[in-house]
Amino acid sequence: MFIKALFKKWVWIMAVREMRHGLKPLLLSMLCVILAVMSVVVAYSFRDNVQSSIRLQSKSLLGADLALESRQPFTAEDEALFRSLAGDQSRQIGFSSMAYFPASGKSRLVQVRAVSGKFPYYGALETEPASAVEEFRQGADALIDENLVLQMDAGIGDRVKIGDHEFSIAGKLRKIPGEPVTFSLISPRVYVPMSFLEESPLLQRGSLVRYRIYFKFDAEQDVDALVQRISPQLQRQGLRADTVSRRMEAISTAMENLSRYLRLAVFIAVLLAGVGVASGVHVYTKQKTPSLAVLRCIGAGPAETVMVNLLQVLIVTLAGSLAGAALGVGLQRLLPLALKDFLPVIATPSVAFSGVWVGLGMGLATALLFSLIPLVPLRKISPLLALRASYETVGSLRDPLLWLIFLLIAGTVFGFAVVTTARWFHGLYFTAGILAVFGLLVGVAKGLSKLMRRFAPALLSFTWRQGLANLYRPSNQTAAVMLAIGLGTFLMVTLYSVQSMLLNEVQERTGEGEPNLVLFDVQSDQRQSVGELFQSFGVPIRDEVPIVTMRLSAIKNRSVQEIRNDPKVKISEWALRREYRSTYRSRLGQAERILDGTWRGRVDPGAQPIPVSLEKGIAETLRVGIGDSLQFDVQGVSLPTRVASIREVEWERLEPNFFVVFPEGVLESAPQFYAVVARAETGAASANLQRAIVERFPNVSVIDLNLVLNTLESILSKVSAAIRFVALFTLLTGIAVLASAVLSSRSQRVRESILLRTLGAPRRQIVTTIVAEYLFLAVIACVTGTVLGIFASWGLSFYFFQTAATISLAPILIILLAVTVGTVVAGVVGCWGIFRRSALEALRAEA
Amino acid sequence: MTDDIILSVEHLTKFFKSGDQNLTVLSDVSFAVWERSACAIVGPSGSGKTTLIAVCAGLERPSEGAVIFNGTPLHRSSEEELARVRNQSIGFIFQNFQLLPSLTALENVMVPAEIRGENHARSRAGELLERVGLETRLHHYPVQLSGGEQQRVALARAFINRPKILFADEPTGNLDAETAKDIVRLIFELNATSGTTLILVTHDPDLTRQAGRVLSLRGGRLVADNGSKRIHSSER
Repeated sequence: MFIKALFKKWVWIMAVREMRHGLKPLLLSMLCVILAVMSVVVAYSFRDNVQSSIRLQSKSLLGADLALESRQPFTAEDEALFRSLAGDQSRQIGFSSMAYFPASGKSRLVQVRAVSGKFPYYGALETEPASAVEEFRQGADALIDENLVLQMDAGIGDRVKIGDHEFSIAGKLRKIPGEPVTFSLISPRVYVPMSFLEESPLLQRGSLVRYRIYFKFDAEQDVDALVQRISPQLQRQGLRADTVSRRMEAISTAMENLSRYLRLAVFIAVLLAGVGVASGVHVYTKQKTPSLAVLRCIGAGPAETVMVNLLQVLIVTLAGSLAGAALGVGLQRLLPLALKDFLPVIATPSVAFSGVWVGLGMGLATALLFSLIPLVPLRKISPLLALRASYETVGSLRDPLLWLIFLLIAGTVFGFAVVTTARWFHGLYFTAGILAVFGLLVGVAKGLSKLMRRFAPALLSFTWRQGLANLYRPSNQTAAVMLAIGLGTFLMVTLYSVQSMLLNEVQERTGEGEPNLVLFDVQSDQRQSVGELFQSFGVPIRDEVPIVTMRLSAIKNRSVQEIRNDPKVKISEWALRREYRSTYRSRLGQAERILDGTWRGRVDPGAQPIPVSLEKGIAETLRVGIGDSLQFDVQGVSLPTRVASIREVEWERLEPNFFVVFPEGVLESAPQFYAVVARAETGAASANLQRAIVERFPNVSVIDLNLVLNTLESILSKVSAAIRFVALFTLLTGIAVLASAVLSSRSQRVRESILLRTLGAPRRQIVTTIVAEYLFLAVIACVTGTVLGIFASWGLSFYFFQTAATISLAPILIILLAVTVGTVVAGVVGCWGIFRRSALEALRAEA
Repeated sequence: MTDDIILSVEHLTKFFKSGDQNLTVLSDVSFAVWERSACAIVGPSGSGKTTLIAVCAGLERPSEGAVIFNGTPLHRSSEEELARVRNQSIGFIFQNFQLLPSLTALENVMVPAEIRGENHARSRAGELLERVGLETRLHHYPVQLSGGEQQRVALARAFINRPKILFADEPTGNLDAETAKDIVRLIFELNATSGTTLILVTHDPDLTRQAGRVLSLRGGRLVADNGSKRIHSSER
């Protein structure tokens, strides 16, 4: 029936003619389509551009054709392998150390990379000045992360001390191939010449060091096949290989996850645009109802009546989608710019036609589906309406076709979510979440409105009653506007609440009495001197924790090598190969509690097997439980142990926590170093102490929690800013829905104001009515969105971040106030000018 | 010369639901209308006149009874069939003209012919507008026309498909006396040339007089019918 109507010439002619008059509500709602399509094009183009950039810049992701890495110094066997592989080779040794800047007196834990050779072979170290790289390769200077130079109030040519050695700062590092800028926030990098390490005693027992060698081969070398061939040897020698294809795969996966998030986020904007379209089309068709009734009188069928209007919507939507796509192509540079700190490549924007097609398709499909909601009931328009308004009211929700459309919309959301997330249950959660948020926003807002309508009138003056009643005027767009405002508020409250919850979680760790300084790599012969230094600064030491490094040699009487060679055993490689840093003590730490087994704090020397306590996660990874045996190797001495207890550890607490804890009586005479935990009451005391430590004990690393907190704040800010940028698409669409509603109801408002003025109402009273209407609208929607946002934050904190949910009222109140004021201002501005003209003039202008 | 019955209304009853109540607008109305006749429906406000012609024109379904138009039982027809009958066999003129505001005068007249799929709608519409004296106003929009001019456009639109019957609901209700006279003249002129049966709801005594047969409604009932015998159009 509807398809037949589509092929009737007069239907198309009628649709075009009808568009000459009263198109404003439709055009305004198309603002939403333009923004939504723009968002989709930007998000999909981002994915295509980043993937294309990754492909083009693939080699610069690694900077070489092949990288081999070990946690131990390369052996003779390793060197023989490297010689056999040939190619141009570069070396890098990376480790953490304190960097001290004498000019400012500041110090910071940094990631030192001692390099030799021409690495990177692809891409380049971007520095300021650009010539700094060459100076670095030829001289004995250092290259330092730009952020670190800023933090330490340093400049080019200043000195930096690492260990016993002082370097001149040759330049600031801006970009390292394959590494996003955010790395520099977490672990700033300092590049130094390899020769420095040979002279420095920095690499001591306990230092966590990564040894890397980079290879550049001839163009025809099949690196993946090569790695495949030498894989058994690499495994035997404990070497990890990284190739361009592996790096590409890892980065592509990460970028695909980011892209998925973006696509899901802009889809919310698309759905909101659909609501805006439905609302605008509803107003438009209400205006057209008399004409439609006349058409029915003169012989148009029900399906033809619907098609005349549907075609108008589709024509306008096509135009809006094309405009949105053009905008999206123009603005696609913005997204990579907003996310540049998180991207490992420089995303080069280019027109991604797939993004344009997807945007156009989504715009048209969304407008079509949502516009059917107000259009489908048009088939029931009685021609009798040409004579008079109907006596009988028809409940639109009883229309089965409407329910079919709702189901189609839900199905489309689900389908999109499944395709995007590539997992049906993720798609289900997303769909359920979206429908719940949308449904709750509209349902709760409507419920509150009904309550206010019922109970408020008696309490309100005429103008406020009139304002409230305006929410229910015929052809109102109250539901759509409430959804738009509520969704925007919900998003902002959720984002800010989660951000502040995460920050509070960290800040609590630095509350009164909590330790704020941790020293690592304190050697046995330095303990006393370190203690005296702390004492001289008046900073009490809270704890001195011994650390013994060891490797796992057997699990349940099977050697680690045997386990690694057994394809049936699913124990992660990192857990088998890692160097364990264990401690020994008689008591449980404050961040621990026993989940299973019995804590053994002390054993007699020589007792075997040694009862040890394992952290819950590592026990699961190693697939061991109470009573199972583990064999550790401490510098050639074998230690047979038995799992006596399983612990739960609060890893987020700032104190040394361990996978494996031995009882006292076993490791006291083993080679060991110490972690020292302390609290400095003032920032000045902490800075002075750190300076003194770096000067006297250059091998000791200091973690300052204040710095960690600042870094976390900085990272969270960047992440939040990026998330807010993406949420901006939804917010802009919400603003478009609001603007559309305000402007399309303007003519009705003009008529009302003229009538009121004719009846003697002063201007002030009419303005108060408008303010009251938008105030009610905003408050109801904002309160609903805020409450839902708080619940969502709580849910995210409890289930996802597993942290305590704390709500900061101040930012929430600011958001509430800002959105409310913004809505009221939008409503008043939208009615601007209705008083300036005479009643007749205004009526004629609005006709 | 005798004519056939074009419209037969039998025991027509119509009520509307208003909240929980049933509002009876027409009660057991029966009459027949012959081809090429003219008939006026009169009665006080709220007597059911507009509802009667709405049901007869297939705009509304009866709650009880039968309406047979040109052999087609309208009370049992589908929406699609009713739309076809309205397009091809019925013309309608409204009190408030009901022109489509976004179409010109010419386009308004063309619409019923376009719905029918006619290829020469434009030329025929132009001819009709010329007949009603609007040859210089073809491309004006309704908002640019006076009330009388709008009603003439509506008249032309009602006749473009050469309907068998024309229903007019107070066609002169919103017009001044002078203009009303013109419209009445046009209605009967077109009726005479095309042989269309006329059924008019009116308070206009001139229109009532010219129609000849008068059906009086009061409280939803047919209380008087002075045309129970056939009156041929040539005898008016």
